Amino acid sequence: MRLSIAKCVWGERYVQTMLTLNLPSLLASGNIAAAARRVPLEHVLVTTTEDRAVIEDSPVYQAMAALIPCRVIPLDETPVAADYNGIIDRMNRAHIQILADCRATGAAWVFDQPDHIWGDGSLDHLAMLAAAGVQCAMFAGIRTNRQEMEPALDSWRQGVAIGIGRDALLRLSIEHMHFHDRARFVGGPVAAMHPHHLNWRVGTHSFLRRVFYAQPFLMAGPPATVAPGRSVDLDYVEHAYPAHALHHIQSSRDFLVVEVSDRWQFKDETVAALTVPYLATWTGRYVSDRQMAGFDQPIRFQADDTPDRHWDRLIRHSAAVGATVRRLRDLRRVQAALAEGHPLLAALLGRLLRDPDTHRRIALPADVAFFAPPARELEGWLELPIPDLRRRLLRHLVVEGTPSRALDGTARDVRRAGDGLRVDGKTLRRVEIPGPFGLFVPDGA
Amino acid sequence: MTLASGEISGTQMRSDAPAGGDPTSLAGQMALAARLIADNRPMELGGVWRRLTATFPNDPVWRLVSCLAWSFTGLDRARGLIEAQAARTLDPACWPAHLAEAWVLCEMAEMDRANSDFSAYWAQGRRRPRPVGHHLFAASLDAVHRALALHPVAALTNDLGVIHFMAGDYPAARNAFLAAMDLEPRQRHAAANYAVTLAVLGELAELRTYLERESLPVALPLSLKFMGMAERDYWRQPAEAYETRRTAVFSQAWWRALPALMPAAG
Repeated sequence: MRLSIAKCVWGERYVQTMLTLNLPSLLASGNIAAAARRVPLEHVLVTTTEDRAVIEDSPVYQAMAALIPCRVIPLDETPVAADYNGIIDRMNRAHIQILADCRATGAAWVFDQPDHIWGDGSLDHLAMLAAAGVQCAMFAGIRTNRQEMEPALDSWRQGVAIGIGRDALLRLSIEHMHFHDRARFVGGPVAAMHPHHLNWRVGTHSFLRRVFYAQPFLMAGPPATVAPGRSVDLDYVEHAYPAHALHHIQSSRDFLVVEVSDRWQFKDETVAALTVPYLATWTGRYVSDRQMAGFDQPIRFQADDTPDRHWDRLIRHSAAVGATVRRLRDLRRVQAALAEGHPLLAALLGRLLRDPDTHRRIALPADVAFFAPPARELEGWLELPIPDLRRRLLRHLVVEGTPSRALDGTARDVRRAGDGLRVDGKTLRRVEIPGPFGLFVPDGA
Repeated sequence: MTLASGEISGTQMRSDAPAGGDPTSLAGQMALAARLIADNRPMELGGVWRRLTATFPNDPVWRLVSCLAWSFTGLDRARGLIEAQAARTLDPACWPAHLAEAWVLCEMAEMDRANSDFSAYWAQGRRRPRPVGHHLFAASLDAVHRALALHPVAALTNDLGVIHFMAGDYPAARNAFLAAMDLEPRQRHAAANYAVTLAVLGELAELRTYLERESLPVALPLSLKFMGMAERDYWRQPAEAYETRRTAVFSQAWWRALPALMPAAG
């Protein structure tokens, strides 16, 4: 299989970033030179005529052209909106050009951007995966501050190349991490409005990341029938590759690509902390079930000797957060379904779903059912403080398989009564709701 | 001044370019900027002006349009700040220049504070309580006070409140929003920001009273409206993604004032 390291670039700022950081990092001995020993490589650039002249004149591009074939495809310069959306649209069109080129040449696309810095050995790792038959490799790079990274990387320049090992690159990236990524640490001082990924600090030079929107870095055999919507990293992979074709890179010690951005770019934060209820709400609106499944793949960003037991603890903890978020997303759907026919139940559920602690206080079994009390009793529940409300709730929650004992241990007298149940002498009927939950309300309610 | 060849922007090429005149001339660019501002399309202005290779003349209005272009999309706030500071140096009596400086400084202070807090969090592995009225916002507050001294209106008083809000001083923010509404009861940004501040302060009873009493000059986000409902009606609505994350917003007064300062429109 041939690999096409392909990207688009236009404009002085990004061309300069590519020439001073991106291409030099690809020229590290563990990247192009090593990968080319495993599989055939080429470099494909989608750019403007004006920028092409500057790029082809540069020593770093000429050094790369001496190693592997380099091609340039003219950028589709159809006018786009002048705002940021226009930039994204133009980039997306260029990515469509790259996908078509890969299909035509039978190459797999190594996704690159002009502001990417490749840790030494990372491209070789992708080549190894490609040679092993991996179709689509996913990762999530770190965003860093350009103004600080650029001079810091001078110490790793060797001629036209930047050869920086993955651990060293990670330590630099943590030190100069962009505001964009700093706002996505659980328990951190600020939180992002859009938590595309979550991070947990593990040690001085290590953190754990789980991602809703992962980035594809290797795409083999892109299907002709699928085109990216807004960008390659949002919905494209979901439509182009079945879940079993994805390979999730799980350690920065195997692969590390970081991105540089202007220090004052991408301001997206609030003072409100990232909470599990917020994550459930946000993911319920913006994350597909398939992207949610990507959250199950933890990535270890590790450049220290933090013992495995610390990693294991955080991996377990963050997996539990993911499971809870899923549960609350399901309950949100239940709340929406109840809003019309059972507004009182919807209000009670909405109150509990907004509470930042309830998900920690009540561990819901897989097949849980709720025996709703009569409406006049529920009315009173609305006024209860949350801890009291939770206590009442536990008395009415049962496991469907063993309904004679509530979650708080209270014994319930439960018998079958036609399609419904008779609970402590009162007839309840089942209400159909989405998800794996059971709901029984008094007959006539 | 003329523009370098090949610098005709996408916006100019489209049918909504300003009619008449040479679009590559200084006056043509100024007319385009005025049109985009009037149409509430400053994001596009950013895209157009960032591609200009010409050197801007040392004129406060040019500098401020440039500030808007560089900072509105968030692509280069540092450059935006330089432009705002150049504008107020050129014309110390130009209140939009001081207000633009306050706006960019406030956004940069938020990021600086977050970076500084993050370093402490990273070193200690835990979140620390955040101080109120952080010193990083002092320069931004100075700038907005200078603007207010030159142009004491409700919109600028709102902007003072926004900086207090961003600095975490919510009581001072609430007072500023109230003062703005005293000056101009229908000041729409202050009206919404006051509601947001009450929600952040957890003063839901006062928020409900406010929403019942006032017919606001602005459509509030649904979640804020719901907060003003009876509790059961609020809880019945599924939580909205950003309902607890509302923040105060600036008035747009400084860049909305620019077309009136431009020679072509003046």
